[in-house]
Amino acid sequence: MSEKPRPAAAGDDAARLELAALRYFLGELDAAGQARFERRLDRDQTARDALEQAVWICQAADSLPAAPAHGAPARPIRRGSWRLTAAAVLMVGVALGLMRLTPRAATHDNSAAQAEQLVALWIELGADDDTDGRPEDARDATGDPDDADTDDADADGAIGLDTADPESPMPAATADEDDDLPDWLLLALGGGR
Amino acid sequence: MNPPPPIRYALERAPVPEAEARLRPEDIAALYDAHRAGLGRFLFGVLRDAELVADALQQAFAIALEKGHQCDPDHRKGWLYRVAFHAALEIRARHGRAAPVSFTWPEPVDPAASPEQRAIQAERLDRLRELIGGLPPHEREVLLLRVTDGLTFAQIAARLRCPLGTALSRAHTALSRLKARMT
Repeated sequence: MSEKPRPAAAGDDAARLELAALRYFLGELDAAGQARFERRLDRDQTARDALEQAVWICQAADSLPAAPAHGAPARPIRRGSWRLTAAAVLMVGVALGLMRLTPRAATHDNSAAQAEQLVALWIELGADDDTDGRPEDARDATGDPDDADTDDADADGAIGLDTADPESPMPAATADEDDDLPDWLLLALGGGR
Repeated sequence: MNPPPPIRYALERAPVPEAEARLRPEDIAALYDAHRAGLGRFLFGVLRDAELVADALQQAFAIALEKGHQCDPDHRKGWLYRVAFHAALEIRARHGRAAPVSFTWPEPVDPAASPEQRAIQAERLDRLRELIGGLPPHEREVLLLRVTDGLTFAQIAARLRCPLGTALSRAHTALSRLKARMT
């Protein structure tokens, strides 16, 4: 955007014409200026093209969104990130609440189950989140709710979660998931046990 | 409907064309498709009223049907614009008022255009918005103050505490930039 549009001479005349067309369209010319410009419109196609372009530019400028008129464009909000943050806050609250309410002596067995629930909830929410940076529309391009269900089922299947198996409380792919679990969750789980 | 004096004059002077020599309906349709959107914007620049623009367009293409064949095909666009301009002046005079300064914008993308043309127009409009957004801030500011806030250049100069020539020069440069980048 640093280059100068055109050198002088013919370019200047064209630019003056563009400015005159803009002022004519916006009603800023006095009667004599308006008559002069209309005489030119009668005989000169470049003046007509300049007026057409002035209207086009004004229309585009008028339909610009008000907020990003100056400065950098606003960063789009990722719905998944908000959802994930809200879920994380909720989970921390639930975990802390459970730890406080449950008597220490009776908690050991229960806390393991709670931890499993916490991890399962985390993974379930994580599977639903926009972790690959793609918008949701792109992830579910068909817009078919059945497809979305299938994706969720696949996500559960991929982590090998089998809540019916008491011998296998944790998912099969635990090593990978440990990398995905945030430190605060691991800390909370460790504290609860 | 009586044609406006300049067009009536042209019609009276022109020899009566043979019916078979006139432009064929498909030629008129092609002319309409090619120039309707641009001509509509040009006419809006003169009339600033979408309904009057529609009247002027109708009149211009009616004349094109009658007389378009007399024009060199290479210069048909200029001829059509000139006919439309005269129609617009006549309509404006008939309504007995100058073009309004404040107005309602017509649809930026011509709803009567084909889907393909609408897509092209929408893309061009988006591109233009992008270019306006990418102008240097001091040029964009002048342009937006003039167009969206409706300030005159004198008022803009007062608001920005700069000479009128500076405000005009910034607008002038902005328009040149946009034109250079649109072509």
